[in-house]
Amino acid sequence: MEFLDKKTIRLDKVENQLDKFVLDFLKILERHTKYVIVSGYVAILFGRNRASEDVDVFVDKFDDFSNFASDVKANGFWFLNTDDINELFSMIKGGLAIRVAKKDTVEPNFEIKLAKKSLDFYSMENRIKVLLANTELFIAPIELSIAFKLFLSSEKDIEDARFLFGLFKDKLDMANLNYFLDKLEVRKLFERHLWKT
Amino acid sequence: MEDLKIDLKGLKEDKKKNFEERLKFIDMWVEYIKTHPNSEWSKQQKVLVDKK
Repeated sequence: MEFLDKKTIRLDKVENQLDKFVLDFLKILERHTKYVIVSGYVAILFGRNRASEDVDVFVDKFDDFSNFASDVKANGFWFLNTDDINELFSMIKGGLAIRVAKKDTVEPNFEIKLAKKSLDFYSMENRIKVLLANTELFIAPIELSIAFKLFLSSEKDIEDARFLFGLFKDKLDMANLNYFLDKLEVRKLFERHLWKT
Repeated sequence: MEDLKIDLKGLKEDKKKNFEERLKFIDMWVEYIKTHPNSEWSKQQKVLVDKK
């Protein structure tokens, strides 16, 4: 992988089934809203050796939610929560996640939430573009991803944080990472599991 | 069923040791990614992820 600038990474990888699922759905999603992928898939994209049932994504407001829902259904995906478009819209507006999977499957699925909290908006505004062989996608900043994984703090999350930190440590904005470690009160976890390694 | 005597302290130590070993393995994998072409590590990742 190669850093083209602070906000762009080129990654020419052999795509796995999860990558293909993600890229297929993003083709639809990006027609209707701005998005940013957060959490586990960020680590998996760059090589973390694990599978995942869901891909978390924050979205900006939809231009036309009904159009988006029709587009999803017309392109071989379905909503796991309900078929009722009004209900789906109420759910996402109310801060709940709506889930989308390939038709006749449940996993993997996209967990889509509207950006609502300051960190969601930060991720969106500072998203990183990843250039793949034939397409591109947008992920949360690596510094915030590491700190937030430590905040979640399950063993799997700490492993993801260790992976991202190990892979990107020479490229990270350490002042920015330190800022989030303090804000999320995870400095001790960072020192225990990531720094002194 | 006979009441089992479980060494909870021992189990917790094993759990901690396993976690530390997994973290060390992640470091090894990161090193592999950094020192090998993308095509090589991602082919291996594909095998694992696609198995799911």
